[in-house]
Amino acid sequence: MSDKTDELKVISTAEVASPGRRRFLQGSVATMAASSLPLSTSLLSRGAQAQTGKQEIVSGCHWGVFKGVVEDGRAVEFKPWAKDPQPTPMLEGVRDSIYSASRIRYPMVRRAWLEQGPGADPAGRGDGDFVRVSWEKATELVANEITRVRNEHGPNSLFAGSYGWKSPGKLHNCRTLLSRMLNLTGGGFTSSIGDYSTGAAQVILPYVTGSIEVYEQCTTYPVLAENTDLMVFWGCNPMNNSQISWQVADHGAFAGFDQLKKAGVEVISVDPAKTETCEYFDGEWVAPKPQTDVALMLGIAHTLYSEDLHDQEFLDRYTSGFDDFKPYLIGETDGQPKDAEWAADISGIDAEKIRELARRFANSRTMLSLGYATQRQHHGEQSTWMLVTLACMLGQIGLPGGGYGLSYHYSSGGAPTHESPVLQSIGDAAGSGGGLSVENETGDSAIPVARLVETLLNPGGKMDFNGGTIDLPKIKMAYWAGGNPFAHHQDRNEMLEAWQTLDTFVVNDFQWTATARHADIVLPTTTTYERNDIEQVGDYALSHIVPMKKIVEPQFEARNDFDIFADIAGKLGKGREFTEGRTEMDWIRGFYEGAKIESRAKGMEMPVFGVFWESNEPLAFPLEDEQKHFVRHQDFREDPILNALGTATGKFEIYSRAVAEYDYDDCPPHPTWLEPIERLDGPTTVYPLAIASNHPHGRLHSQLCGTSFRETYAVQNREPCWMNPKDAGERDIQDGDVVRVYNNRGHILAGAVVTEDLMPGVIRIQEGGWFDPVNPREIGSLCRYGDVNNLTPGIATSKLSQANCGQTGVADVEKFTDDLPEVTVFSQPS
Amino acid sequence: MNQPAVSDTPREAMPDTAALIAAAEWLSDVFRAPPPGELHQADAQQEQPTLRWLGRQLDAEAPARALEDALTRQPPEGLGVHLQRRYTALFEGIFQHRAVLPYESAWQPGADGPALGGPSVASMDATLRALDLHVSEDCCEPPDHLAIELEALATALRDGQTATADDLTQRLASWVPPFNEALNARDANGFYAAAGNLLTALIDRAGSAPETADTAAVNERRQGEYA
Repeated sequence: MSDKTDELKVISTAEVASPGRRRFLQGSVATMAASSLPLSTSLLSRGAQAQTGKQEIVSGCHWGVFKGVVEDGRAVEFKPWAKDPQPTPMLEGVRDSIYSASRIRYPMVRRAWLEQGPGADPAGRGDGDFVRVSWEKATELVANEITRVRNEHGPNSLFAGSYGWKSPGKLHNCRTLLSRMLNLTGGGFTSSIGDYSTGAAQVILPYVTGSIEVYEQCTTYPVLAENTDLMVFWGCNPMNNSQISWQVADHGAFAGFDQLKKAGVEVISVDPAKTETCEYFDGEWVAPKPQTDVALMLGIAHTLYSEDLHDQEFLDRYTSGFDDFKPYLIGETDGQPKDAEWAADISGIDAEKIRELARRFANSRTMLSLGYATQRQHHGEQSTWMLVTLACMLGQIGLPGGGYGLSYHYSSGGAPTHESPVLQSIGDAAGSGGGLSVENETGDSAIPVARLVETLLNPGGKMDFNGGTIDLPKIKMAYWAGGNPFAHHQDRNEMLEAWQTLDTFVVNDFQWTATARHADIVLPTTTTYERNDIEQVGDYALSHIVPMKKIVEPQFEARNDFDIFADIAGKLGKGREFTEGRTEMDWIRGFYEGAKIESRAKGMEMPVFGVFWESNEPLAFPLEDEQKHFVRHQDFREDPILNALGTATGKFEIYSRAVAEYDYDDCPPHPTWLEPIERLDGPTTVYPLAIASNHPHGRLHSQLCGTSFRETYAVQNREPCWMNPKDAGERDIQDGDVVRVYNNRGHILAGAVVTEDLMPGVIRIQEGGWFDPVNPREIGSLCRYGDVNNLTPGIATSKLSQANCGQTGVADVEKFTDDLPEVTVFSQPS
Repeated sequence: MNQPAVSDTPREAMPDTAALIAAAEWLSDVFRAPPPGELHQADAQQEQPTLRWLGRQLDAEAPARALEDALTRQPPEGLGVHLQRRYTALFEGIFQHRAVLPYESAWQPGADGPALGGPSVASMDATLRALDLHVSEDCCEPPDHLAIELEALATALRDGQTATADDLTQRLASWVPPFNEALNARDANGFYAAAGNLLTALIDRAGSAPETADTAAVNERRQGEYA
């Protein structure tokens, strides 16, 4: 051995690099110093690290509780928790999200923005010319831009509504953390109101029933199994949508389905598609034309009234406004009785069938469960309002197994609620730094969540909303964390146009979604499985508290949102205030200890935190009989004075004086059939096929689209487009063909699935497919994968709610015969 | 078992281990990250002697010349930006074509298809343990990144760990050919395709190379002949 070899050995105890070695192509020392790239001095260091044994680590996610099987630091399997009543197969896709080829690995800045400044070449967003930078550089750029935008354009020019399905967990709630950073740094921002799932329902329902209902517990499944004769799933598909939850999914509804099936409860599914729920119950499938549900409900209501099947006593005691609605129902106000024939003409359901439904509803203990699709439509407020009106006419609200339920649709609504404490979460520090996230005395603003594009295109304009008027701010910077607006917003091409008005768009994410691709600054985050957190199990069940333990170390250069925002806050002088000097585990312990104190007050004793955390199991809470047998609105029925609803009259409002005073032309004061801008066989509709853009099977909105689980449903690696054989045959389309779906808003490719499980005249393309334009610089470019929101309109449901119309839209389909462009959005190697 | 210092290796002869080490390190640097945008042609010109020597040693003069050409083809002030763009486009997966991911996992499909974090991560961890190494704290790449595998190969050769060096060579040989094929398809006549071709030559030659290393020879070459 030469001396130099010995020298190497000594030096390389710290790092393995030849003494004379220089970095090729890294330039001079001065060049390297000027670079914004983080370059480790050596890839390898001396000293072997011990191999770790096989571990099974508990955690939770939107898809349920699971054990992550880890071998030598690598997650090799996500095993469902043994007590999960119905684990979802999507769990395998969840594991893949750690390792998907579309993972964002490094902080990136769009080159034009970096070299030419904010607002440079906005049409170039999405074309992928990014520069990799260090974390130090990236956070500095973000902090400086926040300051610039606030100073030059005012606080409301920074949009941080950042809506989306962030990961669960009480600490790493990225949307809250974003607000916390901005609130603490004292400049304010524009936030958002509502959501894309129930935007119309949650605005109209407080006028009708006194609360938002859609995220509140409904009558439980044990009660349904015992008392319900007829379960009506109206645009409601819990078999699919209860695979997920906003917190950690409990899948409790699946046990409820079993109970209903064993009890022999009769099921009707009103839906353009034969849903998984209908299939499971072997239910009766009633398929009205999409967007005609209000007409169908009115036809049923008219039959109830005309055949004296309605419960006048209930209407008199528990509702207000039926007498204002009745003239419309029977045609006194407009000369058109909303009878079964009238409804049949609009909905396509035979008049006799409509009358039969009315009689069956009235002669059975009937539960009307409504999903979200019917209110994600033009004038979507009306369907929710009309369904409640129908339930009022049936008079079974508050009785065991009867009435209506607006939360069966997803997340195991109806699974009984356990006796558990509330687990606190990190706060957004509203009010602590001179800025708040909702309208307040500081002048900060909030806009309806689905109206961001309209706001960008109409700065300084005014917008009606829920009885008030919003001054639309001039947004110059948007910051998104934990969401994918390039999936969930409608009219993609209008959105692309609007996005060009932004100076700067910052995105925190772990995958190269279309949203990340259209950002100026992209900060790579950890997945849920690379950090510690804590959460409750079941949005309604609240059955357990689960330690969400880190499964694997952060991949690549990913960092926790908490640390990212702490660093940005630090650069803005508020780092200590952001963290409060507490570590990740300090926060988690604090949330647990708070719950422990509350639990003690309820007569329960939770174990000390260390025991809970090391148990590697969710902590269970008891289920009391009273909660197991909960009946929605039973207390109101028993005493409508003492337990009055939160409406102006304290009763169900079939006519709302408040809404009447708003005098909106698109939201009358009682439920009304209003012709949407377009629908199947609509009077002014050009295209022949209605689009059903339901919540996807096989993913959570757009989540998991960028994982291997996509292969379980994709057709020629495209989003499936369901078609009835009649429609396919008329277009010479075979099952498995690639088709082009088009209308005047855009066009996409998709893979044909020809099936009798969809009514003629309707195509079904699930929302959440990743946008993959052939030419990102061209607005209107063909989407190669199949993002249905290229086809849906960006209009609002009404002036009342300003909610999205994702389930409104018509199109046509043709076999795609040109050279098939490769799908590239998932960036997997060939 | 020191190898004699080779000053003019005949084309058909086996390269000495020093050349293999130098090539592995050079290619590791190329594939580890995009170069700084501030890189100028003057910096790249320093590479020319190295490239010519490596080309001769690996019997891969065509790829070496292609690399030289690629480095001199760009306007002097635009070289760094050009290479950055190409690196990002090819390896970081956000341009319009598919990424050519520089990870073994992506090219060793398991039952569920290509993805990152595959079994090769664990087996590379084991290899690093055998070499008494670990991935440096400030490096955030998994151990099956091409640059790390090449760095490990260089270390194994330098340390005289022949069995491990052979294993690493075989490992690289199992996935680099399809990787390089994809690279050439997407970067025809480009710098990184040429680097991929040089990489293939390295693996071919390492598969039949002498079994021991002479670190001193490596250092001498670096500090003298072509440094």
